[in-house]
Amino acid sequence: MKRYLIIKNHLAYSGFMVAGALFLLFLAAPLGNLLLSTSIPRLFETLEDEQVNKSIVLSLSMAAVATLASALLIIPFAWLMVRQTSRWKHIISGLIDLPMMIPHSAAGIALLGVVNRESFVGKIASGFGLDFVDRPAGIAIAMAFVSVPYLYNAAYHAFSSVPRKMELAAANLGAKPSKVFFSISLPLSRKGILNGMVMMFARGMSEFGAVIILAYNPFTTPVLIFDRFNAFGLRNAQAISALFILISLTVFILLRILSKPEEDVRN
Amino acid sequence: MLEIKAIEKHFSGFSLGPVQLRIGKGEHYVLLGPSGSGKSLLLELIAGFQFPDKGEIILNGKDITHLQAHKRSMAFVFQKPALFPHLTNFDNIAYSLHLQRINKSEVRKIVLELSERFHIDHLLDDKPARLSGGEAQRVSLARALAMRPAFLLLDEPLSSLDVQLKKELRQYLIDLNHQGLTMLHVTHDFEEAIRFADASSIIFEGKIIQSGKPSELYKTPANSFVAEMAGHKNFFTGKLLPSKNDELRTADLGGVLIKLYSDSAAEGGIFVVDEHQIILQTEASVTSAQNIFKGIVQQVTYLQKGVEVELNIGIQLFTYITRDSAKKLNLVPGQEIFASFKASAVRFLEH
Repeated sequence: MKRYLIIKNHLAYSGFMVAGALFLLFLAAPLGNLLLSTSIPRLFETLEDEQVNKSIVLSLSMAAVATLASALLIIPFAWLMVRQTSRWKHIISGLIDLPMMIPHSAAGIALLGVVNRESFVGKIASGFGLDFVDRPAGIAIAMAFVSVPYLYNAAYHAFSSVPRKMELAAANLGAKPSKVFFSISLPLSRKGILNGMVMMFARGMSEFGAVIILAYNPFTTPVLIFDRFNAFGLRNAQAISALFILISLTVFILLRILSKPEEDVRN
Repeated sequence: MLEIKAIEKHFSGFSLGPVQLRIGKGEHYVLLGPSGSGKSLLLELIAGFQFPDKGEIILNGKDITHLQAHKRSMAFVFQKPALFPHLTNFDNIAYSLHLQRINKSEVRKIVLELSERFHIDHLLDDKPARLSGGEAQRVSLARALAMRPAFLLLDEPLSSLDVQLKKELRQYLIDLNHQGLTMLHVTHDFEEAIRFADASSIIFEGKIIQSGKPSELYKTPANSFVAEMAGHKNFFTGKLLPSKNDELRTADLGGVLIKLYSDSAAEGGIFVVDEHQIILQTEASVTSAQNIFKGIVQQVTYLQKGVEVELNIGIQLFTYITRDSAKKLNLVPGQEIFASFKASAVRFLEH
């Protein structure tokens, strides 16, 4: 068992507890108020609103697309980066973190500059029948752009914690690097990576700033909340917000349960 | 045969080499060195976990210096068994077989054969987390052998085991070697070296400082470091004679009979006599020591601290005495002398 400094019965203990309680209240009060201000019949009524319904399906499905597509590209790359000794890897990791640091609307503008219909990329994509502006594909790349650092960092840390000798042992037994990745490193990092995917999905489905720049329409739920608030005011927006928070929480808890492995991977 | 030709590997705080080694087919070669001497690094270079800056590694006439680890077919047994925790013990052992796309029934046959040999057949469906240290090391050995390696690289595989398990695993290694498997065994434990080695080298601060048969190494150390590393000079191959009653036993060291304590059932092995527990006298007297021999002084060497005396009592025996005692006894080569030591000064290392 870990032993910690005993701080009970000290002034610091009470002081820190009060500070923490105040902060928890600050987090809980707006959410609690929002949920309490919306009655259950009102929630069901909102759920029957076709536009709301569609926006929820769109938000969840595009967050899933963004997460899965990013996972395919970024997880093997994170493994590669863990094994790099070059100092470039820190610069690359910093670059991947960048979307978390900048205003998401600015991220949306930056993305729009690259994928709009007149741009080079936009034109090539159009050639393949893929449009980003005001299209689900645009929503997915906006979500991916701002939320992928969560997945990359989680995967990076998960791969870093795989003991080096596990991979060496596999190689020694005749496994090619790709086989080492799929049969050893990936399974041993599963927990961390799944957690990262859950975080990325949750962050992606809630994205507003970058999504609204690329695709005001079709509505994702965060954009719809903004639209309803502008058109019909607080009460209308409150019901959708409450509903979306409940759905987000449910999805988040479900995915957390699913991503929890049956046993710890220790040797 | 494995040849290491002038291998070098440099880091900012440590340099290995240039190292030369030659390990013959079927040999059990022991590389002895203290921690931080570069012995594990050398093993990693041979396994292909790292690449050398200079030099060549030749396996059976083929240059493998820059061959990737997965193409070398040299099995590596780690100090702590690096079993894959997410796979069952069966799948751990079968890992290399799955890679070779061997059919299922054949895989099953090989795994069962190996696990029966190492007495782990009842553990095949478990995950490694439930294994004891000895069981885990046996699974790891079975896993290494499943790939039918041309060469076995052992990185102190016994050091994390307790005495009983060490003995068990040691026997497995000896059997494997007798069946023709070539081994390079890295250890810091000199007793392991004299138990196993056909040939050995001592490595210190990244350099091989002496190579040869263990007996040459320990009896004629190139320098004081080797002498210290070897620890003992008095070790003899011999037979433990059967005893009817008590623990006090007799060993036959090529005609010289010595008394020792042992409850071992083994017959052959190595007997170590502690050089510091041998008493020299110019005349025979009655003492409590079980072993008293008349011998001839062969050589007297003044060391930085004390004096090393080499005597012949039918076997070559070394002892250390103080300068003061040496003066008192007035020791000169050719002189007759009596050497005595207690039965408890002798240790038996089973083969």
